[in-house]
Amino acid sequence: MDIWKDHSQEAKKERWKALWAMEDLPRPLWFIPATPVLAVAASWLVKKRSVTGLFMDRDVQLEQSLKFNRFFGLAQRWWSQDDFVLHLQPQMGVGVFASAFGCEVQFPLDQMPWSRAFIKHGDPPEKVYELEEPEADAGLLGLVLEFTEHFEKKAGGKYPMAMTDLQGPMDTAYLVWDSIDFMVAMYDNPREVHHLMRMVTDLIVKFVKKQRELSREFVPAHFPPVYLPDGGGVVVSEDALAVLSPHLYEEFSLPYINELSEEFGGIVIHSCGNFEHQLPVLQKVHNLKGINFGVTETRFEAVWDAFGGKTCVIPHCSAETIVADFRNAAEWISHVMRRKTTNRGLALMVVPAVGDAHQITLDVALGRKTNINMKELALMGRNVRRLVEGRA
Amino acid sequence: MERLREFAKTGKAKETAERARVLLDEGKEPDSIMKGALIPAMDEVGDLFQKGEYFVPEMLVAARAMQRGLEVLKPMLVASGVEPMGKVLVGTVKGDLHDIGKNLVVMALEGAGFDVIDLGADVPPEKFVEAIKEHNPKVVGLSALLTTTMPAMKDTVEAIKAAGIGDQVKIMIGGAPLRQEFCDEIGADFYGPDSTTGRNYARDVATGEA
Repeated sequence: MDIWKDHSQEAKKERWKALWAMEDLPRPLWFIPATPVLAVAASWLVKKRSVTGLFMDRDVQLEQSLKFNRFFGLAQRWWSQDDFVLHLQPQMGVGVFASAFGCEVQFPLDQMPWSRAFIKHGDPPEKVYELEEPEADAGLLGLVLEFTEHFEKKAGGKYPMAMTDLQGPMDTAYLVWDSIDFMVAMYDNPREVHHLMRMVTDLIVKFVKKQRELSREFVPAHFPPVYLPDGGGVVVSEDALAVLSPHLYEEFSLPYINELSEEFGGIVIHSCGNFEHQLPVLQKVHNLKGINFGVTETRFEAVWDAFGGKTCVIPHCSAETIVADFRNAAEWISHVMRRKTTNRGLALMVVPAVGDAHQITLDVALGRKTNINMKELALMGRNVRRLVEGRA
Repeated sequence: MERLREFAKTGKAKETAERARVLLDEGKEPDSIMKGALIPAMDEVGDLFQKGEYFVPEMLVAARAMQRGLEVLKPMLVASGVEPMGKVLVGTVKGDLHDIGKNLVVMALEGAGFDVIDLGADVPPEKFVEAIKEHNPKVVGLSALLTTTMPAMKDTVEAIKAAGIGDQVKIMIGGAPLRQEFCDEIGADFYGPDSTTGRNYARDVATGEA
C-alpha cells in the first residue's frame, strides 16, 4: 500500500504515524477538523435547535456521529482526500473535568455547555482545601465513560475512540476557581494554586487511563482532532498560555504539563490566542510532540522558527474568512508552503466557516451559514489539496 | 508620588494604600495624588499590556492596587467636590458568561477615574436600556467572547436605538471574535481590541474629543 496514494482510513493513520515520527514527508499533512459532535452542535445552534439531547443522550450522540462520519467519509473519498481520520468521541463540552470537582454544568437551549466555578469570585482561596479528590467517574466523567462503552458496543470498533474534551490542568483549574481570583491567587496564594493544579492533574491521569481501558483503539486527542496513536502522547488544551506571563506559566503550569507528558509518552499542546511570548517556555516542555494554534493570533513563522522540523507544528486557519494578514486561506496556505523549510512535522488544519472566531462575518454570526455544508466542504477540500500538493 | 506610582504599577495593594495615606498626611491634595500617581500608573500598566510586557494577571493585581489606593482617596475626593470623569456602563451581552475581558475594561476605566456601572455577564438588551435610562452614562460598553453571542450584541445596539436613547450614549464593543467590520455592520460607535483602547475612547468621549 502506498500510503500517499491510498485514501483508506488505514493509510491515513500511517501518514499520521509518519508525521509524529518526524519523517521527511512528501507533502505536509492537512485536514478539515470534523469532530462530529461539535460540528453537528454548531449546525444545530445556528438553526436555533437545542443541543442538550446531542450532548446528553448517548443514542442521539452516537447516531449523529455515525451519520456525520458517513457523509464526511464520502466527501473525503470523492473530493477533499484530506488526512483526517474518522473517529467517534464522547463529547459533553469543556466542563467535564471541572464537573468532577462539583462545578455545575449547564446545557442552555441556545448555547454550547457552560460550567460555573466551584470557588466563586470573592471566596477565600482556602476553599480549595474543601475540594475532595475526585474519582475517574466523578461528575459528568462517569457519563463520558458510559458513552465510551456504549459507542464501542454499538459501533463495534469501526472507528477509533477519541478522548473526550481534555482541558489541561490550568484550563480546568480556571473553570473550578473563578478565573479572575485564580490569576490573582498566583501572586497571593501560590500554595493553594498548586494544590488545585495537583488535584486536576491527578484526575486527568486517572480519567484518561480509564477511558483508554474502555476503548478498542484509543486516540488520546480531542482538539486538534488529529490521529495520535495511543502511547504517543496526549493532547491538552492549554489556552492559559495566551493570558499568562511566561514566569507564571513556568511556575504554575509547566510542571504539571511535564507530568502528563511523562505519563502518556509525550504531549501535544493546543492554545487559542497569541502565545508567541511563551515560545521560549514551551522549549522546556518534556517530549513536546506538537503545537496547535490559530494563525489569526499566533504567527506561523514565529512557531516555525522556534519548532519547525523539531516538533510537529499544526497551525489552523479558517477556509472562508480573512486569515491574519492574508486575504483568504489559499493565500495563507501558499505562504506556509513557501515559508516552511521541511515537511517534517507539518500538518495544516483548515476550519470550515464557523470556527474562525476572529474574522467572522455578520452572515456567519447570524447563522446564515453553517459549517457542515458538505458541498462547500468538498469544494474547499479540493482547493486546499491542490495548494498543499503544489498543484495550484 | 513616584513610589506610589511604582507600588500601583507593580500590584502592591497594601503598600499602595499605605503610601496614599502617607501622601495625604503630608498634605498632598487627593486629586493631585490620583492624577499625579494612580492614573499615570494605570496608563503605564495599559501600555505595558499593549506592548506584551504585562499580561492579564499583572493587570489584575495592578488594578486591585489602584482600587485600594482609590479607596483611601475617595472620601477626600468626594469631600473636596472632585467629579469623576463621567459614567460608563458595561456588561457582557445575553447568553455569554465570559467576564475577564469586561472586568479588565472595568478596571481600566476605574483606573482612569470613571464611575463604572458593571451590569455583569449574560445581560439582556432590555437591562442595558433600563440601566442607560437610570444612570445616563456617556458610554456603554458591550462585551462578547463567543461568536454565537455576537448576535446578542447586535440586538442590544438595536434595542438601545429603538428606545430612542442612541443619541445620548456612545456604544463601544469589544471581545476576541470582534472586528471593526462587525462594529460597522451593527451600528456601534467604537470597536476596541483591548481594555486600554476602550479606556482611551471613553476618555475621548468624556473630554469631547470623540
